[in-house]
Amino acid sequence: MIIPKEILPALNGAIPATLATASKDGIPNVGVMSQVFYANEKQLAISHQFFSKTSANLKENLRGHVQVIDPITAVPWFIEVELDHEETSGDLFEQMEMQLEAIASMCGMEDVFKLQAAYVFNVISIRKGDEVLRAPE
Amino acid sequence: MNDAKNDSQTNKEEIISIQENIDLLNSKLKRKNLEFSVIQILSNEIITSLDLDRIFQIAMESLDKYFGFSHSLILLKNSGSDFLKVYASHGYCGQGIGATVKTGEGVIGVVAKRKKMMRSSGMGYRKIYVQSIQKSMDRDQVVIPMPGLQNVNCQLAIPLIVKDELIGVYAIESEEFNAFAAIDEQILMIVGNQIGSAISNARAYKEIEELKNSLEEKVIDRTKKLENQKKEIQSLNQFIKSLNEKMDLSEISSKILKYVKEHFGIQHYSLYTVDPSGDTISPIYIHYPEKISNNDRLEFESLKIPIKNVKGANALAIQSQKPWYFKRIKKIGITKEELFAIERLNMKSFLMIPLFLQGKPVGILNFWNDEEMSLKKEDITRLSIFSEQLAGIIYSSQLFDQVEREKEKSDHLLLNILPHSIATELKETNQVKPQHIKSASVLFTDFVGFTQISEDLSPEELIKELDGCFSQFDEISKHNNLEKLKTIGDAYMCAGGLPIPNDSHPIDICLAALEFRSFMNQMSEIKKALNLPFWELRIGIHTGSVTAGVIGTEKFSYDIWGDTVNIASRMESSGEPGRINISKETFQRVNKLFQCESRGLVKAKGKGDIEMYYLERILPEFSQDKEGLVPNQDFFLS
Repeated sequence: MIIPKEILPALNGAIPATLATASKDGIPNVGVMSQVFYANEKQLAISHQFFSKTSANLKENLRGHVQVIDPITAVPWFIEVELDHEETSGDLFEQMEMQLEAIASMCGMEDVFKLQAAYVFNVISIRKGDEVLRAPE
Repeated sequence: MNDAKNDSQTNKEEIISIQENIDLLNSKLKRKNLEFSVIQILSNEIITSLDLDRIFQIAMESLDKYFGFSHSLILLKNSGSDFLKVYASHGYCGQGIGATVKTGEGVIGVVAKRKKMMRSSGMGYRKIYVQSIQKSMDRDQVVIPMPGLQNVNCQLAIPLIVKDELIGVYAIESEEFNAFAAIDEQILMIVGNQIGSAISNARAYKEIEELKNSLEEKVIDRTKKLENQKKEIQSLNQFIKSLNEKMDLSEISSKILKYVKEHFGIQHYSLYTVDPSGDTISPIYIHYPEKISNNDRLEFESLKIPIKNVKGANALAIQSQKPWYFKRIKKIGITKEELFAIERLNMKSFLMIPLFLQGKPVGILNFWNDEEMSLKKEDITRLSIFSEQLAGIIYSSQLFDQVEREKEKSDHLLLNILPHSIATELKETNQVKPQHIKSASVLFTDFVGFTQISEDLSPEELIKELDGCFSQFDEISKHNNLEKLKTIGDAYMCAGGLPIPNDSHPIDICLAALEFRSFMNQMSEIKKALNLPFWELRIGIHTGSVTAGVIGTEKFSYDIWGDTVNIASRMESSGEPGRINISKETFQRVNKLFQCESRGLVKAKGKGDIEMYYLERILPEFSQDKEGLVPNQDFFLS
């Protein structure tokens, strides 16, 4: 499905995203992602650094569930995804690698934060959450 | 009725939706127009500017105006260094200039490393994420400080690239999320390229200016070149000397002839050398047959045989790099010059050996008889080896001419920087003995307000001005029998009574000082009339003993030392603009000819109180003119 442009602010990485996956036995795992990238109008990409459980699950079960939050409106988005392929070079990979390198080098962590691969997911469905999370009056 | 109402409702919705679409397209169009305006402004303004500060200012201000880049930095990379340095900032109230970023660190560092543009958001939050992992790994928390905003939420960094080389980064920051999302990436790359080219143009220009700027450097450079040339000549001289000591060309010639006659029954030989152009050969020695007319001899002296792009025996020998033996000469496949030689020299049989040195043809050796020669293969080999040795000598004799010419050139240059007698001494003995001179006069000049004016003038104008003044001073020094010693920035130094001592130096130097001053007065009058800034000159003179000589082996120059020099310099600094300040020592030697005004004791820095006088003019009875500048006959008689 086509990703609506409205979601883009939520993909800038200001608020970490979550990716839920499950093993073939149905045991779920939720990992925190530093950034979800807009790859093209139908696909999103997530950086594979060291989330070993998520990677293992994706090998068994391609389906995943991503949650991102718009940093300005605090509106959450729920995205159903399916792993399409991995990329280890090319424009998208390099863009993601630069983001990671920039942030890691500021903390002296460039040796740890190495981009292993870019997981490219097809978007199956997108649901916009409620505009909520206001402090009680 | 209801239907109609519904219809009109639908129409209304359609109109609204079309209107929305139009609005959207309009805003896109507006955006594009803006982007192109920016590019146009950058093209017109910064590419043509050669001033770095101005380029930065215009670029940052126009990008703020059109794109809302309210906070931006321009960092430049010094070639060979791993760091980028903030050279200009916009929106930070001038703060951050001079801060550095290492290549590969942070957004700016990564953009510099990869030479690719990058947008990023929420770096602050992401840093917390990385740090939490760092903590969980029990690693030391490292925070590398970055220049720019503290609460930055959005960053955009554009590499500045010229000819595939990164010269800097243009970094933009915002406290808002998604501040730069709408700007077309290609437009930003064009902006980056334009800023990059402008910087590189301005830098190239600055480099040229700096080169022009340093007169001093020019002199050093010239001296160095001269020095190198001298060394080269010396080593060549030695090389040739060693060869020449052993052999002399005419001596060799007779030896060659004797040798070939005895061993190979060869009666004649001739030697040709390749001309500097490399296109022809000319005879330097011909062992003529007895019956040859003077006319023919003359023709041989100016004979040039072509060896390039012709069908000829000599050309063939040089091209093949092998000896050629013609037992019986056939008059085919030869040039008309060769035919001339064969006929006039009555050659019936000949051996031709091309001479090579380091792979380059230097000449041709011809052995011939007026009857058939019978040379064996080993004879030819022996003659070839013999000829090889000859090649070196021919080459060196040609080199010798060249060296003589170079030497003349270097002598000329040497005379430009050293006094004649010193240059001769240096040339002959390769050194100059320091000389104690009992009495010499030293003059210093300095431009007052030079720093002030140099700020207002362009480097080119400044050099032109200085050069104009100093050239005139050189001229004045020369005709007053003074030795110009050096210029130090805007100061000029000359002396009288050396290197060959004389008695007239205090007078010579005072006459020159009056001329210096008069020249400067004329200059300032012209400048005043044109409403231009002008310089005033302070002149100081002192007479005393000095040590003179040439020091250094790398960069030599004739110079003088001693307290006299220091005092002369103090005389200059203790004077006033437009006046000539002389010491008592000088005054006592010139006061019968010049009008002076006593200043009494004046404190001179580091020298205590010194008795000083202002030199005014030549006394009226000794001057030709009203101003007391030109001496009359009585001046010289007294």
